[in-house]
Amino acid sequence: MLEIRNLSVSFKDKNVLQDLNLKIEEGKILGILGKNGAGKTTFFESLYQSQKYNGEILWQNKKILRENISYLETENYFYPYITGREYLSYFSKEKLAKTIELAEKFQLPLDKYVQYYSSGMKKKLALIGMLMLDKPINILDEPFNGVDFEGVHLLYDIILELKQNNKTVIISSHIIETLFHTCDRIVTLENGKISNIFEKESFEELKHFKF
Amino acid sequence: MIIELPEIYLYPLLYFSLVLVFHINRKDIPFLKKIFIHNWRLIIFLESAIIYTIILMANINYKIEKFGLMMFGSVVLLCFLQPKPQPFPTLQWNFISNDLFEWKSYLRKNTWMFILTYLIIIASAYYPASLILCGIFLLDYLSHVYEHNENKEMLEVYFKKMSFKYKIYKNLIFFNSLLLPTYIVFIIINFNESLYLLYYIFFMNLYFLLIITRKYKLYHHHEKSSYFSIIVFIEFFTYSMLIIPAFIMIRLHMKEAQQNINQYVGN
Repeated sequence: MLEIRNLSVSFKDKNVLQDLNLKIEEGKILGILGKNGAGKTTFFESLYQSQKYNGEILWQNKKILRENISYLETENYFYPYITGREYLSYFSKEKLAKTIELAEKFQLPLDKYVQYYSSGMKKKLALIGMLMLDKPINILDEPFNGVDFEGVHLLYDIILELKQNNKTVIISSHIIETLFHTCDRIVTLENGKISNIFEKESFEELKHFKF
Repeated sequence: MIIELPEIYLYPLLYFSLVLVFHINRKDIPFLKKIFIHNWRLIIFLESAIIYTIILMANINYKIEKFGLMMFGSVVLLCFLQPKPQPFPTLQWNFISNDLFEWKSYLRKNTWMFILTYLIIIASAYYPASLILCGIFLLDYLSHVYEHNENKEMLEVYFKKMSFKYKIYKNLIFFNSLLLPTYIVFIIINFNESLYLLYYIFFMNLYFLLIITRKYKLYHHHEKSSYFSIIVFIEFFTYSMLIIPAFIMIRLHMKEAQQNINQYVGN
Protein backbone atom coordinates (compact mmCIF):
# COMPACT_ATOMS: atom_id res chain seq x y z
CA MET A 1 0.00 0.00 0.00
CA LEU A 2 1.10 3.55 -0.74
CA GLU A 3 0.47 5.72 2.28
CA ILE A 4 0.82 9.48 2.43
CA ARG A 5 0.79 11.03 5.89
CA ASN A 6 0.58 14.76 6.60
CA LEU A 7 2.35 15.72 3.38
CA SER A 8 3.15 19.44 3.22
CA VAL A 9 5.27 21.44 0.80
CA SER A 10 5.92 25.15 0.91
CA PHE A 11 7.83 27.52 -1.33
CA LYS A 12 8.95 30.64 0.56
CA ASP A 13 5.70 31.86 2.17
CA LYS A 14 3.31 29.86 0.02
CA ASN A 15 1.95 26.51 1.17
CA VAL A 16 1.61 24.49 -2.01
CA LEU A 17 0.54 21.26 -0.34
CA GLN A 18 -1.08 21.26 3.10
CA ASP A 19 -1.37 18.23 5.29
CA LEU A 20 -2.30 15.70 2.62
CA ASN A 21 -3.36 12.24 3.78
CA LEU A 22 -4.06 9.41 1.35
CA LYS A 23 -3.97 5.63 1.18
CA ILE A 24 -3.80 3.85 -2.17
CA GLU A 25 -3.96 0.08 -2.33
CA GLU A 26 -1.97 -1.97 -4.84
CA GLY A 27 -3.84 -2.52 -8.08
CA LYS A 28 -5.86 0.67 -7.64
CA ILE A 29 -6.00 3.66 -9.94
CA LEU A 30 -6.25 7.08 -8.37
CA GLY A 31 -7.19 10.17 -10.36
CA ILE A 32 -6.13 13.65 -9.29
CA LEU A 33 -8.27 16.52 -10.45
CA GLY A 34 -7.34 20.12 -9.89
CA LYS A 35 -7.03 23.49 -11.52
CA ASN A 36 -3.67 24.86 -12.69
CA GLY A 37 -1.58 25.67 -9.64
CA ALA A 38 -3.58 23.37 -7.35
CA GLY A 39 -0.39 21.44 -6.49
CA LYS A 40 -0.73 18.32 -8.65
CA THR A 41 2.79 18.41 -10.08
CA THR A 42 4.30 19.28 -6.67
CA PHE A 43 2.47 16.27 -5.26
CA PHE A 44 3.95 14.05 -7.98
CA GLU A 45 7.43 15.50 -7.53
CA SER A 46 7.17 14.78 -3.80
CA LEU A 47 6.19 11.18 -4.50
CA TYR A 48 9.13 10.93 -6.91
CA GLN A 49 11.43 12.24 -4.15
CA SER A 50 12.63 15.20 -6.18
CA GLN A 51 10.84 17.73 -3.98
CA LYS A 52 11.59 18.41 -0.32
CA TYR A 53 8.55 17.85 1.86
CA ASN A 54 7.35 17.47 5.41
CA GLY A 55 5.42 14.38 6.39
CA GLU A 56 5.78 10.77 5.34
CA ILE A 57 5.36 8.83 2.14
CA LEU A 58 5.44 5.09 2.74
CA TRP A 59 5.41 2.15 0.34
CA GLN A 60 4.65 -1.15 2.06
CA ASN A 61 5.32 0.52 5.41
CA LYS A 62 8.82 1.74 4.46
CA LYS A 63 9.96 5.14 3.26
CA ILE A 64 9.33 5.26 -0.45
CA LEU A 65 12.36 5.10 -2.77
CA ARG A 66 12.63 6.51 -6.25
CA GLU A 67 13.37 3.05 -7.57
CA ASN A 68 9.77 2.05 -6.72
CA ILE A 69 8.29 4.72 -8.96
CA SER A 70 8.09 5.54 -12.61
CA TYR A 71 6.94 9.01 -13.46
CA LEU A 72 5.64 10.25 -16.81
CA GLU A 73 5.94 14.01 -16.74
CA THR A 74 3.78 16.53 -18.59
CA GLU A 75 6.60 17.42 -20.95
CA ASN A 76 8.92 14.75 -22.28
CA TYR A 77 12.36 15.17 -23.73
CA PHE A 78 14.74 12.76 -25.40
CA TYR A 79 18.39 12.71 -26.31
CA PRO A 80 18.72 14.47 -29.68
CA TYR A 81 19.53 12.60 -32.90
CA ILE A 82 18.57 9.15 -31.74
CA THR A 83 15.73 7.27 -33.41
CA GLY A 84 12.65 5.93 -31.62
CA ARG A 85 13.89 2.39 -32.27
CA GLU A 86 17.29 3.15 -30.75
CA TYR A 87 15.61 4.72 -27.71
CA LEU A 88 13.52 1.61 -27.12
CA SER A 89 16.55 -0.66 -27.59
CA TYR A 90 18.01 0.67 -24.33
CA PHE A 91 15.20 -1.00 -22.43
CA SER A 92 15.15 -4.72 -21.69
CA LYS A 93 16.14 -6.84 -24.71
CA GLU A 94 13.67 -9.57 -23.72
CA LYS A 95 10.83 -7.07 -23.91
CA LEU A 96 11.99 -5.38 -27.10
CA ALA A 97 9.52 -7.27 -29.32
CA LYS A 98 6.62 -6.30 -27.06
CA THR A 99 7.87 -2.72 -26.98
CA ILE A 100 8.10 -2.48 -30.75
CA GLU A 101 4.62 -3.99 -31.05
CA LEU A 102 3.23 -1.34 -28.73
CA ALA A 103 5.03 1.42 -30.62
CA GLU A 104 3.55 0.14 -33.88
CA LYS A 105 0.08 0.14 -32.33
CA PHE A 106 0.70 3.78 -31.46
CA GLN A 107 1.84 4.27 -35.09
CA LEU A 108 5.16 5.76 -34.05
CA PRO A 109 7.70 6.28 -36.88
CA LEU A 110 10.47 4.38 -35.11
CA ASP A 111 13.20 5.10 -37.65
CA LYS A 112 12.77 8.85 -37.37
CA TYR A 113 14.85 10.99 -34.99
CA VAL A 114 12.83 11.57 -31.83
CA GLN A 115 13.29 15.34 -31.86
CA TYR A 116 11.14 15.46 -35.01
CA TYR A 117 8.22 13.70 -33.27
CA SER A 118 5.11 15.69 -32.39
CA SER A 119 4.43 16.27 -28.68
CA GLY A 120 1.77 13.51 -28.74
CA MET A 121 4.24 11.05 -30.29
CA LYS A 122 6.86 11.99 -27.70
CA LYS A 123 4.31 11.37 -24.96
CA LYS A 124 3.56 7.91 -26.38
CA LEU A 125 7.24 7.00 -26.68
CA ALA A 126 7.96 8.22 -23.15
CA LEU A 127 5.01 6.18 -21.90
CA ILE A 128 6.33 3.00 -23.55
CA GLY A 129 9.74 3.60 -21.95
CA MET A 130 8.11 4.16 -18.60
CA LEU A 131 6.09 0.93 -18.87
CA MET A 132 9.24 -1.02 -19.66
CA LEU A 133 10.69 -0.02 -16.29
CA ASP A 134 7.97 -2.20 -14.74
CA LYS A 135 7.72 -0.33 -11.41
CA PRO A 136 5.03 -0.99 -8.78
CA ILE A 137 3.94 2.67 -8.67
CA ASN A 138 3.24 4.58 -11.87
CA ILE A 139 2.59 8.30 -11.96
CA LEU A 140 1.05 9.72 -15.12
CA ASP A 141 0.93 13.52 -15.20
CA GLU A 142 -1.53 14.60 -17.91
CA PRO A 143 -0.94 11.48 -20.02
CA PHE A 144 -3.76 12.32 -22.45
CA ASN A 145 -2.36 15.73 -23.45
CA GLY A 146 -1.69 15.90 -27.17
CA VAL A 147 -2.60 12.24 -27.71
CA ASP A 148 -4.96 11.51 -30.63
CA PHE A 149 -8.34 9.75 -30.34
CA GLU A 150 -6.97 6.27 -31.10
CA GLY A 151 -4.06 6.87 -28.74
CA VAL A 152 -6.42 7.76 -25.89
CA HIS A 153 -8.22 4.42 -26.27
CA LEU A 154 -4.92 2.55 -26.34
CA LEU A 155 -3.92 4.45 -23.24
CA TYR A 156 -7.13 3.30 -21.49
CA ASP A 157 -6.18 -0.30 -22.30
CA ILE A 158 -2.63 0.21 -21.03
CA ILE A 159 -3.81 1.70 -17.74
CA LEU A 160 -6.28 -1.15 -17.23
CA GLU A 161 -3.50 -3.66 -17.96
CA LEU A 162 -1.37 -2.00 -15.28
CA LYS A 163 -4.27 -2.47 -12.85
CA GLN A 164 -4.58 -6.13 -13.81
CA ASN A 165 -0.88 -6.53 -13.10
CA ASN A 166 -1.49 -5.17 -9.61
CA LYS A 167 0.34 -1.88 -10.21
CA THR A 168 -0.61 1.29 -8.40
CA VAL A 169 -1.38 4.09 -10.84
CA ILE A 170 -1.85 7.79 -10.10
CA ILE A 171 -3.15 9.94 -12.97
CA SER A 172 -3.82 13.62 -13.32
CA SER A 173 -5.90 15.01 -16.13
CA HIS A 174 -7.83 18.14 -17.04
CA ILE A 175 -10.38 16.04 -18.88
CA ILE A 176 -12.75 14.54 -16.32
CA GLU A 177 -14.08 11.90 -18.76
CA THR A 178 -10.62 10.34 -19.15
CA LEU A 179 -10.48 9.83 -15.39
CA PHE A 180 -14.00 8.34 -15.32
CA HIS A 181 -12.86 5.68 -17.79
CA THR A 182 -9.79 4.65 -15.88
CA CYS A 183 -9.90 5.47 -12.15
CA ASP A 184 -11.17 3.62 -9.09
CA ARG A 185 -11.13 6.77 -7.05
CA ILE A 186 -10.79 10.47 -7.87
CA VAL A 187 -9.57 13.14 -5.46
CA THR A 188 -9.90 16.84 -6.05
CA LEU A 189 -7.06 19.10 -5.08
CA GLU A 190 -7.77 22.73 -4.23
CA ASN A 191 -5.17 25.18 -2.92
CA GLY A 192 -2.92 22.33 -1.86
CA LYS A 193 -5.60 20.45 0.05
CA ILE A 194 -7.70 17.42 -0.78
CA SER A 195 -11.18 18.90 -0.94
CA ASN A 196 -13.18 15.83 -2.01
CA ILE A 197 -12.78 12.10 -2.54
CA PHE A 198 -15.08 10.38 -5.02
CA GLU A 199 -15.38 6.60 -5.18
CA LYS A 200 -16.37 4.96 -8.48
CA GLU A 201 -20.06 4.80 -7.50
CA SER A 202 -20.22 8.56 -7.03
CA PHE A 203 -18.38 9.66 -10.20
CA GLU A 204 -21.67 10.96 -11.59
CA GLU A 205 -21.51 13.77 -9.00
CA LEU A 206 -18.30 14.98 -10.64
CA LYS A 207 -20.22 15.87 -13.82
CA HIS A 208 -21.78 18.74 -11.94
CA PHE A 209 -18.78 19.45 -9.74
CA LYS A 210 -17.43 22.99 -9.62
CA PHE A 211 -14.21 24.15 -8.02
CA MET B 1 57.47 28.28 -23.44
CA ILE B 2 56.68 30.45 -26.49
CA ILE B 3 54.68 28.72 -29.16
CA GLU B 4 55.40 30.16 -32.58
CA LEU B 5 54.01 29.15 -35.95
CA PRO B 6 56.69 28.44 -38.60
CA GLU B 7 55.40 31.05 -41.11
CA ILE B 8 53.96 34.48 -40.31
CA TYR B 9 51.08 34.11 -42.84
CA LEU B 10 49.74 31.13 -40.87
CA TYR B 11 48.51 33.47 -38.12
CA PRO B 12 45.94 35.34 -40.27
CA LEU B 13 44.91 32.03 -41.82
CA LEU B 14 44.41 30.41 -38.43
CA TYR B 15 42.49 33.35 -36.97
CA PHE B 16 40.37 33.82 -40.06
CA SER B 17 39.39 30.16 -39.84
CA LEU B 18 38.27 30.80 -36.25
CA VAL B 19 36.13 33.76 -37.37
CA LEU B 20 34.72 31.62 -40.17
CA VAL B 21 33.75 28.86 -37.72
CA PHE B 22 32.12 31.48 -35.47
CA HIS B 23 30.20 32.89 -38.46
CA ILE B 24 29.02 29.48 -39.72
CA ASN B 25 27.75 28.57 -36.27
CA ARG B 26 25.90 31.81 -35.55
CA LYS B 27 22.14 31.53 -35.27
CA ASP B 28 21.29 35.21 -34.86
CA ILE B 29 21.33 36.34 -38.51
CA PRO B 30 17.51 36.21 -38.94
CA PHE B 31 17.24 38.25 -35.71
CA LEU B 32 19.78 40.82 -36.96
CA LYS B 33 17.85 41.11 -40.24
CA LYS B 34 14.71 42.04 -38.32
CA ILE B 35 16.37 44.55 -36.01
CA PHE B 36 18.89 46.19 -38.38
CA ILE B 37 16.78 46.06 -41.53
CA HIS B 38 19.23 47.98 -43.76
CA ASN B 39 22.47 47.57 -41.84
CA TRP B 40 22.53 43.94 -40.78
CA ARG B 41 25.45 43.12 -43.11
CA LEU B 42 27.43 45.98 -41.57
CA ILE B 43 26.80 44.60 -38.07
CA ILE B 44 28.00 41.14 -39.16
CA PHE B 45 31.09 42.67 -40.76
CA LEU B 46 31.89 44.78 -37.68
CA GLU B 47 31.53 41.83 -35.29
CA SER B 48 33.70 39.52 -37.40
CA ALA B 49 36.26 42.26 -38.09
CA ILE B 50 36.58 43.13 -34.39
CA ILE B 51 37.08 39.48 -33.39
CA TYR B 52 39.65 38.94 -36.19
CA THR B 53 41.56 42.14 -35.42
CA ILE B 54 41.68 41.59 -31.67
CA ILE B 55 42.96 38.02 -31.78
CA LEU B 56 45.42 38.78 -34.60
CA MET B 57 46.89 41.95 -33.06
CA ALA B 58 47.01 40.43 -29.58
CA ASN B 59 49.50 37.89 -30.86
CA ILE B 60 53.01 39.06 -29.98
CA ASN B 61 54.59 36.97 -32.74
CA TYR B 62 52.60 38.64 -35.50
CA LYS B 63 53.71 41.70 -37.46
CA ILE B 64 51.34 43.37 -39.92
CA GLU B 65 51.87 42.09 -43.47
CA LYS B 66 49.85 41.90 -46.71
CA PHE B 67 48.37 38.41 -46.07
CA GLY B 68 46.82 39.63 -42.84
CA LEU B 69 45.22 42.56 -44.70
CA MET B 70 44.00 40.27 -47.48
CA MET B 71 42.29 38.05 -44.90
CA PHE B 72 40.72 41.21 -43.48
CA GLY B 73 39.19 41.72 -46.91
CA SER B 74 37.84 38.18 -46.77
CA VAL B 75 35.98 39.09 -43.59
CA VAL B 76 33.81 41.39 -45.78
CA LEU B 77 32.70 38.33 -47.76
CA LEU B 78 31.28 36.78 -44.60
CA CYS B 79 28.42 39.32 -44.75
CA PHE B 80 27.23 37.54 -47.88
CA LEU B 81 27.69 34.04 -46.52
CA GLN B 82 24.46 33.06 -44.79
CA PRO B 83 23.58 29.78 -43.11
CA LYS B 84 21.62 27.37 -45.26
CA PRO B 85 17.89 27.14 -44.40
CA GLN B 86 18.00 23.36 -44.94
CA PRO B 87 20.63 21.37 -43.06
CA PHE B 88 23.22 19.39 -45.04
CA PRO B 89 22.44 15.69 -45.39
CA THR B 90 24.33 13.84 -42.69
CA LEU B 91 25.71 10.36 -42.16
CA GLN B 92 24.00 7.93 -39.78
CA TRP B 93 27.13 6.62 -38.01
CA ASN B 94 25.22 3.43 -37.23
CA PHE B 95 28.44 1.43 -36.73
CA ILE B 96 28.98 3.29 -33.45
CA SER B 97 27.55 1.39 -30.49
CA ASN B 98 24.37 2.71 -28.86
CA ASP B 99 26.34 2.75 -25.61
CA LEU B 100 28.25 5.72 -27.06
CA PHE B 101 25.03 7.59 -27.76
CA GLU B 102 26.54 11.02 -27.03
CA TRP B 103 29.10 10.55 -29.82
CA LYS B 104 26.58 9.01 -32.19
CA SER B 105 24.20 11.90 -31.70
CA TYR B 106 26.93 14.52 -31.97
CA LEU B 107 28.37 13.05 -35.15
CA ARG B 108 24.94 12.81 -36.74
CA LYS B 109 24.31 16.46 -36.00
CA ASN B 110 27.76 17.74 -36.99
CA THR B 111 28.87 15.22 -39.63
CA TRP B 112 30.67 17.53 -42.07
CA MET B 113 32.10 19.85 -39.45
CA PHE B 114 33.47 16.79 -37.64
CA ILE B 115 35.09 15.37 -40.78
CA LEU B 116 36.72 18.73 -41.55
CA THR B 117 37.86 19.20 -37.94
CA TYR B 118 39.17 15.64 -37.83
CA LEU B 119 41.33 16.17 -40.91
CA ILE B 120 42.68 19.40 -39.42
CA ILE B 121 43.47 17.61 -36.14
CA ILE B 122 45.43 14.90 -37.96
CA ALA B 123 47.24 17.54 -40.05
CA SER B 124 48.04 19.46 -36.85
CA ALA B 125 50.46 16.63 -35.92
CA TYR B 126 52.86 18.11 -38.45
CA TYR B 127 54.30 20.53 -35.90
CA PRO B 128 54.26 20.65 -32.05
CA ALA B 129 52.81 24.19 -31.90
CA SER B 130 49.97 23.37 -34.30
CA LEU B 131 49.24 20.17 -32.36
CA ILE B 132 48.77 22.12 -29.12
CA LEU B 133 46.84 25.01 -30.73
CA CYS B 134 44.42 22.75 -32.63
CA GLY B 135 44.04 20.63 -29.49
CA ILE B 136 42.81 23.70 -27.62
CA PHE B 137 40.23 24.47 -30.33
CA LEU B 138 39.18 20.83 -30.36
CA LEU B 139 38.38 21.04 -26.66
CA ASP B 140 35.66 23.59 -27.37
CA TYR B 141 33.96 21.14 -29.75
CA LEU B 142 34.54 18.28 -27.40
CA SER B 143 32.78 20.10 -24.57
CA HIS B 144 29.49 20.04 -26.45
CA VAL B 145 29.53 16.27 -26.98
CA TYR B 146 28.38 15.77 -23.39
CA GLU B 147 26.16 18.84 -23.09
CA HIS B 148 22.76 17.18 -23.57
CA ASN B 149 21.07 15.03 -20.94
CA GLU B 150 19.25 11.80 -21.58
CA ASN B 151 15.85 11.50 -19.88
CA LYS B 152 15.61 9.77 -16.50
CA GLU B 153 14.21 6.52 -17.93
CA MET B 154 17.09 6.18 -20.37
CA LEU B 155 19.60 7.06 -17.66
CA GLU B 156 18.14 4.40 -15.39
CA VAL B 157 18.21 1.55 -17.91
CA TYR B 158 21.63 2.59 -19.19
CA PHE B 159 23.27 2.51 -15.78
CA LYS B 160 21.48 -0.67 -14.81
CA LYS B 161 23.36 -2.29 -17.67
CA MET B 162 26.76 -0.75 -17.09
CA SER B 163 28.55 1.07 -14.31
CA PHE B 164 29.52 4.71 -14.49
CA LYS B 165 33.19 3.76 -14.47
CA TYR B 166 32.68 1.41 -17.40
CA LYS B 167 30.88 4.12 -19.34
CA ILE B 168 33.83 6.44 -18.79
CA TYR B 169 36.24 3.70 -19.81
CA LYS B 170 34.34 3.01 -23.05
CA ASN B 171 34.12 6.68 -23.94
CA LEU B 172 37.79 7.21 -23.17
CA ILE B 173 38.77 4.32 -25.42
CA PHE B 174 36.63 5.74 -28.23
CA PHE B 175 38.05 9.25 -27.78
CA ASN B 176 41.64 8.01 -27.85
CA SER B 177 41.00 5.79 -30.83
CA LEU B 178 39.78 8.91 -32.66
CA LEU B 179 43.00 10.69 -31.73
CA LEU B 180 45.22 7.68 -32.46
CA PRO B 181 46.06 8.71 -36.06
CA THR B 182 47.15 12.11 -34.74
CA TYR B 183 49.38 10.45 -32.12
CA ILE B 184 50.94 8.16 -34.74
CA VAL B 185 51.53 10.91 -37.31
CA PHE B 186 53.15 13.08 -34.64
CA ILE B 187 55.51 10.30 -33.55
CA ILE B 188 56.50 9.61 -37.16
CA ILE B 189 57.15 13.27 -38.02
CA ASN B 190 58.34 14.63 -34.68
CA PHE B 191 59.85 11.71 -32.86
CA ASN B 192 62.38 13.93 -31.02
CA GLU B 193 59.55 16.09 -29.65
CA SER B 194 57.63 13.18 -28.10
CA LEU B 195 57.40 15.02 -24.79
CA TYR B 196 54.88 17.39 -26.40
CA LEU B 197 52.76 14.42 -27.39
CA LEU B 198 52.86 13.01 -23.88
CA TYR B 199 51.65 16.33 -22.48
CA TYR B 200 49.01 16.57 -25.23
CA ILE B 201 47.66 13.11 -24.37
CA PHE B 202 47.48 13.98 -20.67
CA PHE B 203 45.93 17.36 -21.35
CA MET B 204 43.25 16.10 -23.74
CA ASN B 205 42.31 13.09 -21.63
CA LEU B 206 42.06 15.08 -18.40
CA TYR B 207 39.83 17.67 -20.05
CA PHE B 208 37.71 14.87 -21.52
CA LEU B 209 37.30 13.25 -18.09
CA LEU B 210 36.31 16.59 -16.54
CA ILE B 211 33.62 17.10 -19.17
CA ILE B 212 32.07 13.64 -18.98
CA THR B 213 32.05 13.54 -15.16
CA ARG B 214 30.58 17.07 -15.02
CA LYS B 215 27.57 15.88 -17.01
CA TYR B 216 26.52 13.35 -14.39
CA LYS B 217 27.54 15.49 -11.46
CA LEU B 218 25.01 18.11 -12.60
CA TYR B 219 22.37 15.76 -14.02
CA HIS B 220 18.80 16.51 -13.05
CA HIS B 221 15.79 15.03 -14.82
CA HIS B 222 14.22 18.47 -15.31
CA GLU B 223 17.18 19.76 -17.31
CA LYS B 224 17.59 18.85 -20.96
CA SER B 225 21.15 20.09 -20.97
CA SER B 226 24.03 20.75 -18.61
CA TYR B 227 24.62 24.15 -20.28
CA PHE B 228 28.28 24.44 -21.08
CA SER B 229 29.72 27.96 -21.06
CA ILE B 230 33.03 29.70 -21.71
CA ILE B 231 33.58 30.00 -17.94
CA VAL B 232 33.49 26.21 -17.62
CA PHE B 233 35.84 25.94 -20.59
CA ILE B 234 38.39 28.27 -18.99
CA GLU B 235 38.06 26.52 -15.62
CA PHE B 236 38.57 23.02 -17.02
CA PHE B 237 41.25 24.22 -19.42
CA THR B 238 43.24 25.59 -16.47
CA TYR B 239 42.81 22.41 -14.42
CA SER B 240 43.92 20.25 -17.35
CA MET B 241 46.91 22.44 -18.07
CA LEU B 242 48.09 22.13 -14.45
CA ILE B 243 47.32 18.37 -14.42
CA ILE B 244 47.21 17.80 -10.61
CA PRO B 245 44.12 20.03 -9.98
CA ALA B 246 42.42 18.14 -12.82
CA PHE B 247 43.03 14.82 -11.05
CA ILE B 248 41.53 16.23 -7.83
CA MET B 249 38.50 17.66 -9.62
CA ILE B 250 37.89 14.44 -11.55
CA ARG B 251 37.93 12.50 -8.30
CA LEU B 252 35.40 14.88 -6.74
CA HIS B 253 33.20 14.87 -9.85
CA MET B 254 33.24 11.07 -9.96
CA LYS B 255 32.06 10.82 -6.38
CA GLU B 256 29.24 13.33 -6.79
CA ALA B 257 28.22 11.92 -10.18
CA GLN B 258 28.03 8.41 -8.77
CA GLN B 259 25.81 9.60 -5.90
CA ASN B 260 23.58 11.41 -8.36
CA ILE B 261 23.25 8.36 -10.59
CA ASN B 262 22.45 6.17 -7.57
CA GLN B 263 19.46 8.40 -6.82
CA TYR B 264 17.92 7.41 -10.14
CA VAL B 265 19.15 3.85 -10.46
CA GLY B 266 19.30 2.72 -6.84
CA ASN B 267 22.27 0.86 -5.48
